Amino acid sequence: MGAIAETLFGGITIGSAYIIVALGLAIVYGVSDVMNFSHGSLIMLSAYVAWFLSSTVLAGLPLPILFIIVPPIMFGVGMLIERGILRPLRRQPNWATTAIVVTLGFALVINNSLLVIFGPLGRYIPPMLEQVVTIGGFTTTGNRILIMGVAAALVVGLVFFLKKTRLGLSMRAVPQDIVGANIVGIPSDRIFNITFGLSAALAAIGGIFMGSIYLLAPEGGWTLFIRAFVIVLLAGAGSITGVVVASFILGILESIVQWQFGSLWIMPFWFVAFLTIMSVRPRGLFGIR
Amino acid sequence: MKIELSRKKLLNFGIPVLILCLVPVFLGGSPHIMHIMIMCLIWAIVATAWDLVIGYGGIFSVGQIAFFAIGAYTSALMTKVGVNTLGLGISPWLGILMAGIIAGVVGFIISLPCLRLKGAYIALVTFALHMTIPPLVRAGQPIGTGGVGSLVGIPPLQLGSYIFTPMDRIPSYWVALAIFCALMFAVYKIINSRFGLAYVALRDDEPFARSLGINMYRSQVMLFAISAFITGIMGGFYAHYLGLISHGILGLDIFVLVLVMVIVGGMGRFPGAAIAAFIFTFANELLRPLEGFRAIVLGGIIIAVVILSPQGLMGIPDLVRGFFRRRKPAMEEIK
Repeated sequence: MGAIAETLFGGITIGSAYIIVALGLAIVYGVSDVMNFSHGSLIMLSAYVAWFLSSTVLAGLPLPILFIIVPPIMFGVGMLIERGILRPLRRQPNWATTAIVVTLGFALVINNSLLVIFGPLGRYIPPMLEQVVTIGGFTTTGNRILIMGVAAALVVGLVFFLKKTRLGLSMRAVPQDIVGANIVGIPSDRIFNITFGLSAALAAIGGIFMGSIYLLAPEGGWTLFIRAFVIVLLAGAGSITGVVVASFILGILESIVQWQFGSLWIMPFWFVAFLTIMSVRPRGLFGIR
Repeated sequence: MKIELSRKKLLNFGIPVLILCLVPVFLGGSPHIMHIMIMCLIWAIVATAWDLVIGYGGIFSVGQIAFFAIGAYTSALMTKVGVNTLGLGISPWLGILMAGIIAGVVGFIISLPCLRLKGAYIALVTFALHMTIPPLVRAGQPIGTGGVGSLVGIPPLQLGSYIFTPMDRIPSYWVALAIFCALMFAVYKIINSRFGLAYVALRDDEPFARSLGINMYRSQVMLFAISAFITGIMGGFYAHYLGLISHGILGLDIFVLVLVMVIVGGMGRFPGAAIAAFIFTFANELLRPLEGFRAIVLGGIIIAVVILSPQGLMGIPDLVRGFFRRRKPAMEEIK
């Protein structure tokens, strides 16, 4: 009984981390229909930036300062990527496919640049809250509680932003009817640009945490991307609720599989779960398009 | 007129084949270069088959290297004899055929649920196939897949009493060239048949093509299976040529290299992928001294080609023509 509860709790922790990782990918997919294959690499890039800053320029300062500095940097990087490599494609036919190809190429460039600059050795960002916490019989680290809190805050913040602010409403209008949105004066290019920046900033938050849970490795971006990819497709067309539900389902599944069969079997089980759910709901859990 | 046309066709096929036939005469002295040439022929076919799916089918499948590995492992397992093997010991030629058939059947089965999906979903399902192979290879140790290591001792091809050992590069080159010509011709025939035109119609204007009575799902499933069959055959040849195969073939570098060939060749522009395969197999060898920077360069090439010339190599003539055409009306306007 204890083991089962422990496993479920572990799954919820993992699920929260996946929410942070997948939100950025989901929002770009939802708004611009681009499956950004370099999202995992952007997370790794931000993790390395965070690691580099915290061990050189910002050495000695409290770690939460990273949350103030890294996301804005990545916001700018994201906007540059959209402007530089995605906008030129939008004029071409079947650009959803070419966008996949371009972002795949970009992921290669980032991953291997990180490999050349930082070497293959794993890096580690110290966790923000190191103390061990015991809540209702579960023992966990403060860092993991912090991740759950941040995941919850991001989801609530993002839903509020998309439903209540002018910019957020524009972001929802563009994918529904791009011509209509343009007619009422929403600059769709600008919206795509900001969305990509926002996605990269979310990747930055994910990156700072990933560096404190796992070792950073240049190739780690692929693993993160594949997981975020499965979650976003399972969620359906960039739905935020879908991302939350899918992250928890897959997080708990991962925790159970790890406990019973070992980590080698996580991805096979994920794909089986994915195909099963997709055969019942072909547009994803909460997909409408 | 008709004779003229067929002569042009004959030249289009004859000249490249003639050049490829002359390669051993001039470069036969260097086993290393002959090896690269054989790899060029292999990747040319794999890239062309992949382009059938991506370029002509408009299906973004990333499972091509998986079919290649399935072919290689099938043929290796069926032909090898000894302890810890299936013990079938069939002829390597039959093994290569079986490699194609098994890869084609797997492709067919995968495509049934997969092609009901769209865009990124197809990429994920085919990628899942790619990811499933390494664990299967690891679990297949008892039937001789080599587990975490390589599968070694795959019997070489044999013609009469002659055995193509991995060291005789030139005879292997002739075999590769024969398979290459046969498969390229088959792909050419598919593209230029009624059947092939249906794909172009589907890709360019789906609702219109469907209104003409083209069954999209069935056509795409067929294309997917044919492409997997062709790739599987090349995988089988690869296994017998090298005499060993490991799950390293599914690594990111080969995957990206072949994808670059498809994209640089120009998606849906027939011989483009094959031409790009020759360029990039050599380029990859030349870039080897760059080590870590090699993948950065490849990534950069992908981005540059897709943005600057979406039709790849085959689009460059159009691009040049378009450049001049765009100038002319502007001049007239000024007048």
